[in-house]
Amino acid sequence: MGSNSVVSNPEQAMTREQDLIARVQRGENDLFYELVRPYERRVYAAAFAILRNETDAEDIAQEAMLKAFANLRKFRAEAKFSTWLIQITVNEALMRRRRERTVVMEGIDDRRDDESDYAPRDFADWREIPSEALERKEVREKLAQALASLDRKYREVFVLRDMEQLNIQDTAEALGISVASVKTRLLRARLMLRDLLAGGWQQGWFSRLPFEKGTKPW
Amino acid sequence: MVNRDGEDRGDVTRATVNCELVWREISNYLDSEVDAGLRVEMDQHFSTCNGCAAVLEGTRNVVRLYGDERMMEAPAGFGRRLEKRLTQSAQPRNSWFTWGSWLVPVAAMALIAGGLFLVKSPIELAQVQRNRELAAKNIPPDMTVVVTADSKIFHVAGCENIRGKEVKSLTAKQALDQGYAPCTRCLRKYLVAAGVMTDRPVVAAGLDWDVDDDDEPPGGQ
Repeated sequence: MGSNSVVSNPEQAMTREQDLIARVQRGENDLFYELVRPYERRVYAAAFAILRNETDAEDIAQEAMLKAFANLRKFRAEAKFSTWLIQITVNEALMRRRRERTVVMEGIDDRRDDESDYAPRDFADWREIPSEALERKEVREKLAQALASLDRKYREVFVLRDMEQLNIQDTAEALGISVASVKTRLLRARLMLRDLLAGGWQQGWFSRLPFEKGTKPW
Repeated sequence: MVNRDGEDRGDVTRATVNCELVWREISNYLDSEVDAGLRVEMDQHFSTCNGCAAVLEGTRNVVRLYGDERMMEAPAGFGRRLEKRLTQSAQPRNSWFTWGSWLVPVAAMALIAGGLFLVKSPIELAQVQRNRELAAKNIPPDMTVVVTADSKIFHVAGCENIRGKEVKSLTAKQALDQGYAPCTRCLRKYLVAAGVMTDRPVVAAGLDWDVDDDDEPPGGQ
């Protein structure tokens, strides 16, 4: 589907993206996958953050891409394409979740933000963790486990803001909550993740390869 | 912008910030959402309070690590399956412009004949119909299967793909007659026997099966 040209410069990538959008809008439909390929993992991650089920997340990710394809003619250049794509995905995922009766009760509770301040529990001295640590699957898994342990309302905001890189306003709009709620939830999510990961940092699992027998990541 | 009282105001009253205020604003600080005055005071606090400096570094690590592209993982074969589905969807639009408006009555006839809910491409319709006919020959018609409200795929009770969902029981014949397609996970053996799928092991939580199958509902959802 389309060419496989590689663009490394961000400005070139943006120009290339705008070119692809224009060409698909003019009817070169077979270029659509090339347009969305850089975002396919982000789209899946957004769907998974909301649905927590691999099958549903993949289904919704595909549905969102098809919806984006069908509506690409309406896309306007003033919006960021990746944000538009993620917002479609979040919308589709939220609609799917609303149909799942099992999470309705959780949704009621989610409307209320915790009013009390969150105090960090751990004051371990963190140094900067090299990004090379993410080359290790064990580290990625531990980070994913920590994220999965957060309440849904904190996890969703964190994923959209810090992983999908949506701004505060776009995160609020995508989830249908206020900017103030996004900020409150984001603060708690970041501090809770920090507390969850601090124990692992103290025990050195970010730098140890492989893990020493008997160590607990956190 | 947030001031030292945590309010979105321009009038900042200078005072020494304490740890509680720092914890409350540390996320805004990282996002550059605090005003210049509060930022200076927080910087001063970090330079003298090891605990808050540790919280800042830890939180910054969290934001940086999770923001890395490598944290975005999708199941094996996800991109391949996505490309296939998008390619299939792109084809009819190209064909439309090339072949002209005679596709409308053909698609409508296929819709009626198949008892389907939505129109997909003629290529998809034909393929799905062929797969259904092949699968139907191998699945016992009186076999009890289950369906869910949000999908046009039928399953064997207990299938992982419908875990936690409400299901309705019916026979395989009824399911096929109503336009449901067999699940490529729990009914795989019948699809393999029909030659619709290859007999490759299912991996990655059942998501990495052969892309030559057709896991889509005949009429969409």
